[in-house]
Amino acid sequence: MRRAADIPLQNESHKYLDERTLGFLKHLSFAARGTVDGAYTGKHKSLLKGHSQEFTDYREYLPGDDIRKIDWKVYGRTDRYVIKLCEQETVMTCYLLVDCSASMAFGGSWHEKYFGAQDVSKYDYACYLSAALSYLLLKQGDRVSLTLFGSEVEHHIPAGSTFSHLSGILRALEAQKVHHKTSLSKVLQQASSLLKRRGILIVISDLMDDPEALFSVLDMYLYRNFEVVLFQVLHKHELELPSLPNANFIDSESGEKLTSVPDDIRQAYSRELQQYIDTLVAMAEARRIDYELMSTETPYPEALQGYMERRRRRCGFS
Amino acid sequence: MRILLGNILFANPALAVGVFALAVPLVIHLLTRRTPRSIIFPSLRFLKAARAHQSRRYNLRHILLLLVRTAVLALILLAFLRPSLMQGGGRKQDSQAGRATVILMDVSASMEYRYAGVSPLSQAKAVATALLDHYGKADRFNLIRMGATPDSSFDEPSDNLFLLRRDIRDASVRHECPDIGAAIAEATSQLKEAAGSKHICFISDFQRTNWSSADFSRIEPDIELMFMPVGPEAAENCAVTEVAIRPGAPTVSEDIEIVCKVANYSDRPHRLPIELRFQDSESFKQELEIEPQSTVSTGFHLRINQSGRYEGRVFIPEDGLEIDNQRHFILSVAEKVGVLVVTDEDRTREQSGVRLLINAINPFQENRLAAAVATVVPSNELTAATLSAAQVVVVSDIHELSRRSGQALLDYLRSGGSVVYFHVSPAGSQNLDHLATWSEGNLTLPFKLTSQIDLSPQGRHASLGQANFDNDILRKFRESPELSELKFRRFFSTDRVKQKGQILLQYDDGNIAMAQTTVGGGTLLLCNFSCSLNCSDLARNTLFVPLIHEIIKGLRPSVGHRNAFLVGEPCYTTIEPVADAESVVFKRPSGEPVEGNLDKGPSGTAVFFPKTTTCGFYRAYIGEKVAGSVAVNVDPLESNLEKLDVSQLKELSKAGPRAAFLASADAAGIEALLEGRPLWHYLLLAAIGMLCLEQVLTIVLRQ
Repeated sequence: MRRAADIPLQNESHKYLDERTLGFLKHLSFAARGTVDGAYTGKHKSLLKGHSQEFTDYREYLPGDDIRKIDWKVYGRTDRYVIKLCEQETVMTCYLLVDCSASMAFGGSWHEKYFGAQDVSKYDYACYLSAALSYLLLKQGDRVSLTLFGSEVEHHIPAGSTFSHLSGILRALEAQKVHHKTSLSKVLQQASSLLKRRGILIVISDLMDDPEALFSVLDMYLYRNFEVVLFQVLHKHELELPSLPNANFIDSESGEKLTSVPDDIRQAYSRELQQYIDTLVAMAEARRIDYELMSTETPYPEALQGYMERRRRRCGFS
Repeated sequence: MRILLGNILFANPALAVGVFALAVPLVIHLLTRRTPRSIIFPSLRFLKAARAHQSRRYNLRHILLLLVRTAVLALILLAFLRPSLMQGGGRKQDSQAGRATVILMDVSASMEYRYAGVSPLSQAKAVATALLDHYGKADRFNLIRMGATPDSSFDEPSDNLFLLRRDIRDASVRHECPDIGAAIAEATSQLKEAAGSKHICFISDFQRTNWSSADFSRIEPDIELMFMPVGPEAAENCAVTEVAIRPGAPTVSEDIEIVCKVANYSDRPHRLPIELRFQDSESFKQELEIEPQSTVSTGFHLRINQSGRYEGRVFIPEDGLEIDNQRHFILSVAEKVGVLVVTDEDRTREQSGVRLLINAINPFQENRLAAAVATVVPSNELTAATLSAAQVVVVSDIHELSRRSGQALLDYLRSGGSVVYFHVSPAGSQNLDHLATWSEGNLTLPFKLTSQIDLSPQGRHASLGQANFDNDILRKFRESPELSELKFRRFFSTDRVKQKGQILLQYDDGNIAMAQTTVGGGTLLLCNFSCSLNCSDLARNTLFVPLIHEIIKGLRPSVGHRNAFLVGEPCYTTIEPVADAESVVFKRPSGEPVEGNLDKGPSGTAVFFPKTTTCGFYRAYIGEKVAGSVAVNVDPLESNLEKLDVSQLKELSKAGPRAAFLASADAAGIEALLEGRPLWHYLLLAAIGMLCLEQVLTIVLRQ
């Protein structure tokens, strides 16, 4: 019998997770790249051996699977090769760090009014992403933690594995206001004490920080055998400046102003931004950190699915 | 009202108010920079980096376009101001005082040159008229015709255009050489007190021979100059430039040569017929071939069997300048050689040297048989008139010469006359010194007379020790022993002045007996002896008469002088004595009466024509008969039509920026000179070019 806590979002409506998304996420899974450290048995490979095995489910045999896991009885009955899934995998803990600094507020209703097209802010996009990932991970029995940060940790929800935990995450995301400046590397350092057990660290931010400082802190997590995933969320008008005759740009965090004609500086801006992104990519690749650039113009389910497929290929999973 | 800024004249300066339109591009530029929309942007980090990279290009693009657009408007505005490029000397900005202009019009003979149906004078008139057509309200003009003396229409610049136009229309060529310096001085003087801007306008063919010595330094610095060349760039002209008679004073039946010089002032050779003609007489013809830019001489040989004065002409076919295609001259053929004996001695004395001298000159009883005839005058009657008829003057035994007589003698010598001076008389040494002093360097005696030698008391004599038989006078006596047999008792001791004159005879004691020296164009033969029997036995010797005749013959001028005069200068001649009862009428070549004067003397009457204005024969009539005539010709300098070009005029005038030069002697050229060269179309073209540039810049910089 399934516990209420195990029934997703029963009788609840949430901004960042709806039925449609749930249906989309049903077929996705988030796997750990390496072994995880978990106190509980889960889907993921564990460092620990010799634990009692509890049969949980079958799945189709795929070439490469361990033939010792083939359930011959099912084969005798059905002439199908299936694998017994046992709870010999350990539960994975995933730490979501979501940026809620002022820079993440870019986009959304103001853009819709001015440019006359549907738009989503970076924070909203990050929240959609976080919600989807949270559900995904909780669905597969992993544990999810949420940390909201600006210039420091704003809100932290320790890891949990129930769907009521998911509701808490969703409510926290919905309630959070974006403000404050960004100081990602400082927050990562601060959060180190909160993220005790190794797992997957997923940072969802616009990553507007000094790359050297950022990766220096991430190196610390890598040293602790964390798997790090970076989702850089940028608005389409950050990736390419809007077409305006004259614009007075105001820094969302410092309030500094700069007047310019976007047409005149578009190419140079793109060059500068691309250079920064290339730096992040290179530094992430060097550390085998997953880096994914996400534009708010791309629907997040599509972006997430794309990432999942790429991740699966990288991890060698089917 | 026009405004002159430097050399640019703006005809529509009022439109300068349009300068405010130049602000339009700037205003548009500022307005198109719309109010910036505020966008709260995540981070200015990359914007700042991009802006730093792009700002220079952004500024450059906008500044360039702003400049180009402003330039387009500025050029269009300038074009509407109607600017013109003025040369120095052109029209000044309008002012109440206006412009005072003196037009100096060349009316010399060369302005008569005809080419393509026009002459430089007709062009000059058109140019002068065009100048008056640009008359402004307060402008004043004056016209000075440049002749031997400047001929001014008014005493000062005037606004009486009617009379000015009439004077321009009626201006005619004068065959005299223009006195440019006098014309410039007159113009400068007239402009001295003139109000407003001052201008002198030279309209001429700027003949090199006349203008190369023009002095512009006396023109005040505040006077602007305008040079308006008229006439063809290269004019071809052939001219008879000189007629000379050899010998200068021929006698009846003597071989005469009329030497004619013909000049070819063109760049191609010419083959010309040349004709010599005397009035109502046959003509003599020849063919001449003359190389480019050269002169040839040719001679006509003839004999005249009757004495008299003959009016002769030498002419070549007419060309562009007709006045110099013929030359007039007077050929005087004397019956005898006229010898003027100047003496103060009593000729009635038996042993009078002068008497013996006169007898030697004409040994015949009847003059008709004589080759030479002596006329005797005392020294105080020595004048230009008495000297003019003489071919040789013999001076012997005279008192102290007066200054007037001495000057007349010197003038006679300078103009080519010949004088024989027997100076043994007491006043001889003194007279020679006076003549040397009055000559102002023309006469340097070949010897100095120191003291009188008289050998007769001792019963001694001197003989001739040396003789120069190469000289024409003594050549025939080379083989004659009689020369050395002559005895001389009274003479002057002499100190030789080295390298002066030529020694012909020397006494055996070293003193000089006869010497010859030149004075101007003439010859002075100094004889340190006397024909008087008291002084020598020369008159007793058989070689006395031939010696005197050889002296006369050797001293006769080889080239005649003043067979003609130049237009503009006073001219004179001598005629037979005129009785008081007779009236003399003077006429110009056209037959119209002209001013003339008479100076009656015992041996002849001098006729003066103080003012000649045209070429031909000026005649003095007694009744219907021509008593005498003078030939007047154009100055041969007028025949060379080579002109000074603009650069040479600039160099000559040294006027710098205050001189303007007419490019072409037509309405367009005058318009350009006075109103300036319009620039508005250049400005519009530049504006169009700027518009094209703006389009190119917009495309290029956008890319």
